[in-house]
Amino acid sequence: MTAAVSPAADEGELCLLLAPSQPPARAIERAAALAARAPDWDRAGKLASGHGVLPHFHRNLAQWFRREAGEETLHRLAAKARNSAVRNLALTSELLAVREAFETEGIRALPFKGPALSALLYGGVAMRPFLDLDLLLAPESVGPAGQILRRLGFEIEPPAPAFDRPFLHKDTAFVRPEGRVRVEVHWRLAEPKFGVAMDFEGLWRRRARVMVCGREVPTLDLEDLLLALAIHAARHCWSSLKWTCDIAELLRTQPWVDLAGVRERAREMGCRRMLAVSLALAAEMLEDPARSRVREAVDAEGAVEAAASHVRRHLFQPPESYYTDFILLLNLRERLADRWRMAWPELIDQVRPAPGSRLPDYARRMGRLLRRYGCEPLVRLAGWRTGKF
Amino acid sequence: MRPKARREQLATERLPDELIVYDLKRHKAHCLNRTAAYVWEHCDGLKDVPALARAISGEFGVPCDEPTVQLAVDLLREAELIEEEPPEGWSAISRRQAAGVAGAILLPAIATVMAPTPAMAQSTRRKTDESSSSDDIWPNNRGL
Repeated sequence: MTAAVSPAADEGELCLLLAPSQPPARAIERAAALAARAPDWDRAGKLASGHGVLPHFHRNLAQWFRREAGEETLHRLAAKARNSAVRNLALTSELLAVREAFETEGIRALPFKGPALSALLYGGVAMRPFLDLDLLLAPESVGPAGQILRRLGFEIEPPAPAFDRPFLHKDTAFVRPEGRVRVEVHWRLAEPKFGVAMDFEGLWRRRARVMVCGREVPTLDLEDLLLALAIHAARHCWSSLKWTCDIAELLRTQPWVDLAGVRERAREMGCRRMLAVSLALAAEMLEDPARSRVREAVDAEGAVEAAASHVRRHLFQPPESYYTDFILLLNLRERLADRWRMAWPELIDQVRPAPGSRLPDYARRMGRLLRRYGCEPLVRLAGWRTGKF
Repeated sequence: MRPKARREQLATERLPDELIVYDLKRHKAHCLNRTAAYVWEHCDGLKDVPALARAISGEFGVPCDEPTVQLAVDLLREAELIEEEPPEGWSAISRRQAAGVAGAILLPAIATVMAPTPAMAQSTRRKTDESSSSDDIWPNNRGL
């Protein structure tokens, strides 16, 4: 994957090339060419840290470019990787305690992302930074789980609208008062506006098990995990390299994952294009034959190619307008209902009047919105309906 | 003396140049350098200090003496990573004493650190911005 990044393109590209746990030979070759141009290694390290890929970036740098990067830079990166590993271990110990408390009370919880994902893909919790813990629960277990978390000293993180209007949200967060631990309790994988419902009973029935710090922990099975990672990355416009690296690592280390089955499930859920973009981006981090296998599974569609190219372009230089990402995601929806479900909350949010304001103000804001964004979302929606989209 | 490493309620993670041992009971992390990690991993209650020194010499290809191992065991005991108390007559070794014989290359070291909080990590996140003085260059929290 090559990226057009600015203002420091070399550092961004180095970060991208050295982010996977095992960069392909062509990536090392390209990185060697960039390393010869005396890049700012500290800046590359900061980019890697911001994108959540510092541990592997540091390890790859130490393995391939020790002389070019210099011991001082490596020492600084090692200290950051150590901090991240310690934080991960601390969070993992909390996860084990929370899960044990849930299990004692008969609450089924599927840890995903965080420690479980790191252990499953990277064989331990140190090499993939995470900042909180994510547990997927059956909707009816969310209330009792909240009570248990309160008993363990957690409080709902304000603002906490999720419990009041669970139909609009997907999770709620609990934190310890000292701020050391944050637990997100999920009853969905994505907000309802994404329209990608996944049945907890099915996820639980198919669950896999992974050893996390010597304890067996249930988690999503590989196919569910691949879909969940693709959806999560899509929700954030693939803006963090960590998410693409996770998908690439899953595809590299678990070659038996049933890609055809995942594509079929994605089609049923209306997120086939989101999966395709994730696969297209991840394929560039892989060596053959995994790369070819994954590329074969990517649907050759204009919308997918355009989205992948948008992601690469904005990986290190986010777009100025929020609507650039919004339109990208809207383009990736395959069903009209899903487009509408995604679009209307954004429109409502933009034109919602301030408390106490009257209709004229409301109308003025609507007019301002239309002027500012040139009705682009509406025009595109209309275009789609007439087959021009 | 045949030191035995504590294994219960500990989680370990290996980084390129060190081993991190997290104490699940006391919520402390200990970062062991290569020598300290090697000694801890081989303290099985069967090997005595001279045997450990020989094993280290074989592993690292550098002569290792007993004071170096003794210092490692002392540090591990301080970090509560060794099970039993030192036997009578066991004299603590200083880094200076150990360094005098073994040289700096094999000196064991253990750093005990508190886990940085997620809040600390998040507070360093900033938009991609050349003028930012933050540690990380964070690519915005994008998406819907």
